[in-house]
Amino acid sequence: MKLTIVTYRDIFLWSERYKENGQPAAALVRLSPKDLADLGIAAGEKLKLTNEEGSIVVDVLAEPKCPSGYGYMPVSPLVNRLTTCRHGKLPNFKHIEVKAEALES
Amino acid sequence: MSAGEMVCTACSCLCDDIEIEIENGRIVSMEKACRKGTAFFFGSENERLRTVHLVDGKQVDTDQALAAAAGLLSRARRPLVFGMDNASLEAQRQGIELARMLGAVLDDSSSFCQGKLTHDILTGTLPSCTFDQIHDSDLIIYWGSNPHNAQPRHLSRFSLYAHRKYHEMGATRYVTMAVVDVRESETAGAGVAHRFFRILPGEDSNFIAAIIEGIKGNPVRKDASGFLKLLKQSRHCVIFAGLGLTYSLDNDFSLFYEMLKHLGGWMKTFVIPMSGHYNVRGFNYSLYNATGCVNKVNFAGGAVSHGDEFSLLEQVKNRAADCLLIVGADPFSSLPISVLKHLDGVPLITLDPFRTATTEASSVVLGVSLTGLESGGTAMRMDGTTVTLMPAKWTDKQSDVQILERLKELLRP
Repeated sequence: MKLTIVTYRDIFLWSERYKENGQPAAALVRLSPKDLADLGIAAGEKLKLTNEEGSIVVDVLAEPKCPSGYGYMPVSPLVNRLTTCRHGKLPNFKHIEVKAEALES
Repeated sequence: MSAGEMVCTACSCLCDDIEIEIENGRIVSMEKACRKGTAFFFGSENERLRTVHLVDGKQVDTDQALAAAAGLLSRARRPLVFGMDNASLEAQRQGIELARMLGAVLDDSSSFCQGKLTHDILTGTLPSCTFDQIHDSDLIIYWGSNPHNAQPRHLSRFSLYAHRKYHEMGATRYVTMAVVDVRESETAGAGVAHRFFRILPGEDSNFIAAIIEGIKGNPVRKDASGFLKLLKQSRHCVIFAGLGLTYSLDNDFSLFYEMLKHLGGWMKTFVIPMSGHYNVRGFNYSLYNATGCVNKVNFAGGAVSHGDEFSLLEQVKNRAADCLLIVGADPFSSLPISVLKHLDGVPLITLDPFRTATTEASSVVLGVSLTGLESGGTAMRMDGTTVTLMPAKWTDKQSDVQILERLKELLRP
């Protein structure tokens, strides 16, 4: 399934980064229940997100008000494995196109 | 034990009412700070999270680290100085002078954050106000920002809950808070905002265009019509513009400004950029005073030139810089890895109080004191108000101002 990832700032970015082994909650994506059903996975299972820049594995959370086709991820170095920046543009932190695949649990 | 008030430098709210108690050189209590500020300052007590002076991964003394940094910078033909958004105004002035002395390119995170808005405020083309003037407003709008996570005390100290006309239980509402966002954030939902306008990602320009059409009397989509109705009831509005708006518009605010111009027909509208780092507005101000530009400048050849090609992103992508001096910034945590990979083989010199992804990638690390807690100075809050920072705790670490002064001395021709 194709998804557009939109990043957002999470308080843990600051509250956890000043702890050892910080940022435990970076590896998650929030999706609509419809997209979870279409992917055949449940909240708490893992999803692989891939694009030309790289590939990451994240936990899935259901966000009832997330529009279908989009996913919300907290800003972190992890999601930055998928981001890019075209000439003269801002980085695509709010519009990261990926292919999402459910991982066998 | 010593006790007193201090200014929090964890974000650009610069809350100046933080009560802190220090005993035997350690923080024993901190009152009024948010979760972000508390983590920031208590985290500074963990030595394993703090920086020491390093050259190629080996711990060295200050003189050795400064000599290594000066050697790299003096050999560089195209040096780039980046950051200073987490540095005092005094450190920024030193950094700007150093960049000028080196003939370097100089940029900060505002080139990919709120620099455009701050530039337009400084040049007088975008009306803005201070937090004190928010009390005159009857409408507060957070657009593409979620202060609950990024500036956690913003509502309680400076906007809605601090508003003189705000009464939680009052029958009449004198001040309304609205949120425009792509996500029902903690600020937008949970009974915080009075009105929430949810738009699809990337749809801000369509939403703004619809509002403009509505002002002209043309039929528009339902959400824009509802937003316009809210605007028409207002006479004085403050918009807190977040990165969500900047990124959705890809830094092109022409339509947004056109909307503000139309709104000027019946109301006053002021914009305050929701800056992240504690002194990013100060950097824009300092550089504007020194050069007439807020970021993306080049001091090569003794002149000042300005352009998008001097942004950190373009410099790195084009492999234009052959040495980076990074002060109080962590681009390795915040920028695309597809961009940062172009820095392979480029020596990095970083000044930071904390270990970060950027210090880990640096050839030379200069561990400095934490401004606000361990060293003082002045900084500029997101609304343009200058705030004095007084150190609350002794440290044997030198401040970024001292390190930059010494670096300048070593590099002086």
